[in-house]
Amino acid sequence: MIEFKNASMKYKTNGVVALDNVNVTINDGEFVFIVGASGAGKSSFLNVIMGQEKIDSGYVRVGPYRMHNIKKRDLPYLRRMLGIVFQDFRLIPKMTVYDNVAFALRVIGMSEKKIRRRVKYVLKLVDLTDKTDNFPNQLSTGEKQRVAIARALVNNPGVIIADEPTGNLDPVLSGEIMSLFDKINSLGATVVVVTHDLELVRQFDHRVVTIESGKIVSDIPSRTAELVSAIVPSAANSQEENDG
Amino acid sequence: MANKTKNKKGHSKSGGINTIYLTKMGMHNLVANRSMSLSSISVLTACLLLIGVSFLLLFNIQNLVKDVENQNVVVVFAKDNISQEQLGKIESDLKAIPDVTDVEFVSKAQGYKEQLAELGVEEDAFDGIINNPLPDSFRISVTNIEQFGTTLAAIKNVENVDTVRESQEIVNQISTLQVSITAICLIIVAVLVIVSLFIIANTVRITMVNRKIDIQVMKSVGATNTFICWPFMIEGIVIGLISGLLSLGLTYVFLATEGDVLNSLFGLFGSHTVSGIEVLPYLIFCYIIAGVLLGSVASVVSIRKYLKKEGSEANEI
Repeated sequence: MIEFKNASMKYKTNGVVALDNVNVTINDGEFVFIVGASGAGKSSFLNVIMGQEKIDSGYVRVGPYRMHNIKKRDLPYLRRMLGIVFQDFRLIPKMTVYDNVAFALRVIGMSEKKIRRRVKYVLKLVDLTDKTDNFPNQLSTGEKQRVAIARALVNNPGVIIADEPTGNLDPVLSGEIMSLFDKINSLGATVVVVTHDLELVRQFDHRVVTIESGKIVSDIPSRTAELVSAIVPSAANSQEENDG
Repeated sequence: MANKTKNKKGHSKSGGINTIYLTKMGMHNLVANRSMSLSSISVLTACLLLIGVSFLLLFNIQNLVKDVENQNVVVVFAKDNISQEQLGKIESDLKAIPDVTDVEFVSKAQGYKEQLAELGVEEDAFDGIINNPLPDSFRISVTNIEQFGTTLAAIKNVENVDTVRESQEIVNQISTLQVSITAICLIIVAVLVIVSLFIIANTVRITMVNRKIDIQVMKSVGATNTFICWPFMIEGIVIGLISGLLSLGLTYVFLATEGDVLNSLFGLFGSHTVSGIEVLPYLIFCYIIAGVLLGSVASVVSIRKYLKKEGSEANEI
């Protein structure tokens, strides 16, 4: 679970308010879009989750870690819980697709036998089995992003964080990538996608949190969740309890 | 998961770093960045050679001083007309002085004979003209040139010693020279060690800047600083090792082919040159161990500094 309570943060360099009294809870297994204009505070929100920025006041919890006082030595272990996908893919050019994905497991000291099995599984999941030995410069942009997603998934993290994952892709590829996140979510992972592509967000039925000037201005649950709440009131109560 | 333990939050923590993989990665990086590696090896080899030459110079100077020490014979003249017992007492007193290594009694007659032989005069040339003017004497070998003044004072204080013939001025000069050259060599070595550290640290730093994205990817997937440092440390160690071996080889080639230069230089002072074989353990230490240490220390310091300052974030570009 990711929980923000009255979290505020200001950039020390220019004094800009990045997060202003943010209150939001993302439950395990949820799929949440974080939307907003450039500079609204979406990336700051993710940076706090990834332990790259610390809030000035309030409380943030990611799984068992309290992010306002997390120790530097715990950051690698926090990040092993998160699968991070970047807009620019961040693939290592000198490594093949296989090695780029396996890298995330070598970091945690997994045996090569288990790495082979796990990498094979995730490459199949993202439909890249035939590109195992290719280098990043031999891939299309969509394929590169799928490799990045496979790398984020391979460690079987509880949470997938994607920062503008479709920013460099055309609408068709963007839809494909988002469907892939949908599939990952259906397998049980929590997915948090930051995007400014509202058109894409409308195509999927997921919770949408909007940030403006560091504040959460709207938090719209998925239509399915709304529907379930309307039919089964106890589900809505349980949701409120979780949010509270 | 293999070797997997849990941290206090119950999350996956690497049980053991895959050192074989990381070592391979370091070696791979060394080859992939070969131009940078070659420049590091060249500069470090030059520094190590200068360090080695300084040490060789130091060894030879120490050797020269030792040779002078060995040749350093002090002649002690006993007072005239003293008994055999008193002469025996002088000998035992002299032997008891620290740093006196050898005491040889030279009788009045033997001394006279030797003086005449040294002058190239027949033994009986002055017979009936002059009486033997020399007293009984002792030839003493003294070690530890730095303490020569103290030893000399002790010799002069021995009962029934009349005069002492020595060359303290030369001894003092050599002693001063030894101290100065040792100090200069050590300063040169210290400066070169700092220069070497600086050069390797900068090379590693440039390599790290070139691999900024790799480091960020490592961070984003949960790599610890030790995991990130390891390949860079391997690179530094291998650069140091290759530079050390190269320096050792070059020094041997120099000693084998141009050793005469040293021989003629130190031969002027009547000393023999210290050969590479004699100082092999020191040269191995100088070159290989120092190279490896310099390489690894500079790499680790450099990457730790980089990670602390710039590379701590997984998301920054």
